[in-house]
Amino acid sequence: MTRYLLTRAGQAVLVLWAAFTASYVLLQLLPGDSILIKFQNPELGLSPQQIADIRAYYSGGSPIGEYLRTLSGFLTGGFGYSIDTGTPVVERLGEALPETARLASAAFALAVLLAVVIAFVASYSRTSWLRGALLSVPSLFISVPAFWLGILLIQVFSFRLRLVPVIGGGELQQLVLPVVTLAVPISAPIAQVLARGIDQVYAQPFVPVIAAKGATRWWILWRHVARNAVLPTLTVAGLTFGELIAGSVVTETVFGRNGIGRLTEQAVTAQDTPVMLAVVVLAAAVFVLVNLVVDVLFPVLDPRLKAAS
Amino acid sequence: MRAGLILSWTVIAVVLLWAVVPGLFTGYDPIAGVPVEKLQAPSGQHLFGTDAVGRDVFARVVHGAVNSLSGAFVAVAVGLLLGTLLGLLAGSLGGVTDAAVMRVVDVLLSVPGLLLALVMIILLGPGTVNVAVAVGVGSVAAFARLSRSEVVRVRRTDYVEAAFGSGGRFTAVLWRHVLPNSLGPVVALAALQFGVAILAISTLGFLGYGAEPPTPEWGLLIAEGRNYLATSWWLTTLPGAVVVAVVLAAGRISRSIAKESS
Amino acid sequence: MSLLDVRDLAVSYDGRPAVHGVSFTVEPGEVVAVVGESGSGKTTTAHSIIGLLPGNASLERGSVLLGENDLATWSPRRMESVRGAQIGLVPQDPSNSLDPVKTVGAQIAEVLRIHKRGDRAAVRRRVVELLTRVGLPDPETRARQYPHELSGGMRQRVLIAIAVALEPRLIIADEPTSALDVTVQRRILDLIDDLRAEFGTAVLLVTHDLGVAASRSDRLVVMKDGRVEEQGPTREILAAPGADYTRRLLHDAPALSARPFREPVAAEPAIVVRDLVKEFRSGRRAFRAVDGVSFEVPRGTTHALVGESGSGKTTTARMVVRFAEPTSGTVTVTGAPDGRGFRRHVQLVHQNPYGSLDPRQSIADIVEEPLRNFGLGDRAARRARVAELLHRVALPADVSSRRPRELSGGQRQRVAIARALAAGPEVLVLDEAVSALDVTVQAQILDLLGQLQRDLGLTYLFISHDLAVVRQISHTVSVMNKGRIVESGSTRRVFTDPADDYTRELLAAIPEPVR
Repeated sequence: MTRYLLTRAGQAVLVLWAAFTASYVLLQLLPGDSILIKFQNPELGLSPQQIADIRAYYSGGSPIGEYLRTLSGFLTGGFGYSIDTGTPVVERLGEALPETARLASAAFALAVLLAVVIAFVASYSRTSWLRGALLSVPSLFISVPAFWLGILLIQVFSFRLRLVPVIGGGELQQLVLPVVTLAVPISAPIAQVLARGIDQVYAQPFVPVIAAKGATRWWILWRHVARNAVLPTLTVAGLTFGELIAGSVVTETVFGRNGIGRLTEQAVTAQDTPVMLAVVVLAAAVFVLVNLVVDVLFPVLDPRLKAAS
Repeated sequence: MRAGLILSWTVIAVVLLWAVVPGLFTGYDPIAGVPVEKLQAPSGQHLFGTDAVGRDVFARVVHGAVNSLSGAFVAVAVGLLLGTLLGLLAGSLGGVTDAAVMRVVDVLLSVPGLLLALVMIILLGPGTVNVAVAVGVGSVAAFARLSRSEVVRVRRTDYVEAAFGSGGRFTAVLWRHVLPNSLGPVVALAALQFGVAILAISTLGFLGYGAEPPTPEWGLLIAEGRNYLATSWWLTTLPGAVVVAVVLAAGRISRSIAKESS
Repeated sequence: MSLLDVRDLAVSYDGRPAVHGVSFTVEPGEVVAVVGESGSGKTTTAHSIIGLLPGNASLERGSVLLGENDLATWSPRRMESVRGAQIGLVPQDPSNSLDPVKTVGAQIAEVLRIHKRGDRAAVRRRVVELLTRVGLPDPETRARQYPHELSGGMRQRVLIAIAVALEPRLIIADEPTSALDVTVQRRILDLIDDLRAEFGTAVLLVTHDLGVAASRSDRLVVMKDGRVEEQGPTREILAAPGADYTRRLLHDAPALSARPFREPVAAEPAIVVRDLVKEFRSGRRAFRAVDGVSFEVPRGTTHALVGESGSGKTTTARMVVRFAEPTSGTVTVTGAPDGRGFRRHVQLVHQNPYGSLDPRQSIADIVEEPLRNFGLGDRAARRARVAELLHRVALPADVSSRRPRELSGGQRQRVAIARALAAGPEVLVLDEAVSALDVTVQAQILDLLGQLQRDLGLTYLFISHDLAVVRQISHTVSVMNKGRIVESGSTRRVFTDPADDYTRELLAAIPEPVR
């Protein structure tokens, strides 16, 4: 068991390092000096001291030395300086992170809730049209462009029904529409896998055995089928964490919220490679960490894996 | 259920025709507007209404099809070729090649597709072709993983062993048995990714990294309509509905291919 | 009054009728066996009694009288009170019939909890009691274990414990032993017998195995294509079968037909296996699947490797056909060249005729493949050879353009044999080649194999778990257990005068009422 955990943790670190290196190399393909030239732009309003700091950070040394410096910077929490504003990247990330964390965690919770409701009601229902309708909801959800959904929600709830103010309003009120926008596309794969998982478990020979004990439909679904279908669903739920960060780019742009997504969008427009590198590594880190947790949970939920690991 | 599939193919066929012969579907100019007819609601004359400079929105959607479709084709081609090649190598050679390719796939998977596409855009710069390539690169991992698992699955079957047992050479068995039997799900994924690519391209277009205005690109169209949300709902709603219809159709077709091949 | 009285039961799947008006009765405390081949409707009949038909099936007409109640008219809700309490079910395949993520104890306790029999402590006591009763050692520990930690036989005992937990009046045992090794099979059937005697429970035994049915039942119901062909007291039917189909079943069932032994022939060896060892490594531990196996097969004869699952017989066969590399030891096939030419000389026929044919190829392409691979003849000559091969395995010529899925299991196995013969091999290795087939089909394929051996002078290495089949086809036998050969010799000698205890146990496990 410990061995399994250590192997998985080692793999996670390796993937993270590779993601960092690959993005670093890709983003470094841009002509290097352009970075320094940009910092001398007087519009940034940097003091000579700041420019000297940045110059010391980015110039000199071999490409390998530069790479190692950036890597050690990431390991110690120093992500370099934003080309766009000249401020340290870590400050910009720090300002943006809480906003996105709130949005993403609420959206993830809503997505799981939506998925569970869709899959369970569809499985339990004996009405075939209701079942069919519910099961086609995920494919609709996944086909809707998130930016368009956001705009549509604003149009209906802010402009037509005037339920949510366009500007102002409480923190919670402002969160509702972006959370729905972000949650809808993410709930789709979770619902699909959960519903498929439930179907597959129902086809297992152990289900009629439980029915032969005299169990009710709900007993079978809740105590056995759902419990077994959770396993594949957990994997997919872990994979969607990357999409939460990607989705926040669109959602925050549409709703004008200042988070990681907005920061990313600005970084791309300004070719702000240090910020972009930090965002990519952050996304990869969240993804790797969440999937490590999923891997750790798996043997706990499935006794068969405890023996294998 | 059959009806849904027929409808899906019809949607794809119509949109393809929009891309090839847009003139058949609309007489309006997608670029030059008639200022006096600006911001008109949908009517018999202007199916999707008109925009702020008096251009027919339906004409812009029809003429925009070529952008989105060719972009999606390029994206799927990039993902399908690179990904399937990687997956095929990993699955059929096994051993070190397999381990190496799968670690690369792990790394690609750890970065969300959209972020990967944005990195590519920083590198290549904005533009329709670059966006398409960027989206394609984002789907390489999915193609590689699926094609590898399919190849591994088929390689373990008795009929592949029987083919080797009948004196078949490695390449002959790969070509005659492994490829045809593992291709179905990959083709299904390609159909699905076609829809996903249209979504991704329109998203990047919306963010402003795709075609330059006044090119009628679907994502850009919706972005331009944002400024008139309070008054002119049709500018955003109708082009978006077209995107949804195309993506839904691609997904439906993908499912039918997946079912056929299993 | 009968305990169970099924009258004119008819069931259809998606509108296609599968069971047409089946009637039979089960008296209190007796064992009634429903026998039939795949597609006979026996399992459908059994499942409709407890209302556990799959979603696409529907009960068209008929009644299922349990005492005075017609269960066929009961709502699903009401059926829940009957299931487990009055009718227990022992399912087919113990490997997948328990929830993998719940402990064994919890799954036995479940039936008591559903029917609200006793508080927590009482339920726990009863679970241990039941585990002890079905013969599991150390029941407290077993109750805390998960299904994957138990062997197939132990899992089937757990499932029996679930079925008898509430001492129901009727147990439906649906192929309760077909997934188990023969020695385990016998012990499980003995256990069901004991429990029946103890509780006075009636048993409805559903099986494809006429041997099992004959040795364990009071009455037989023979089914074919959804109809009852014949029913009556078991002894009478065995002595004087009334229906043609029953006669054919009795004739084809290898366990019941006493055919003459095939006597060994003196000939130079075609296959020589010496000190064969195969180790599999998982992590640091090594496991010897095959442990010093030696045997010889004289040209033109059949040698059988017989053993239960995990005995190493299949691994040995794979080394003979060079699909696996021996860890040490040698396999010599006389006259076979090395390299690709080896495959012209030695051919393997797989167990599962559904998996060994490429679903995308036509039958003609499949049979032609070895000819193409070895460049034998031009296109026209190859096609002619394919037609000849199909004729030789007694397939109609019009199958050549069809796909495997359009063929029955027996037809597919004929195609696999035709392909194996295509390049003119001298040695055929048959890995459980008839195990997946119904007895009547099995008998036909065995006849075909005998015919081909006489006509073409083929040498067979026949891998099987089924002693009755082995007795019928082979000249010489090696009995394998845990990677070793425990006994070798002529089939007559091994079957009539076994020297090893394990062989004796295997032979005793063949259900043979006429023995």
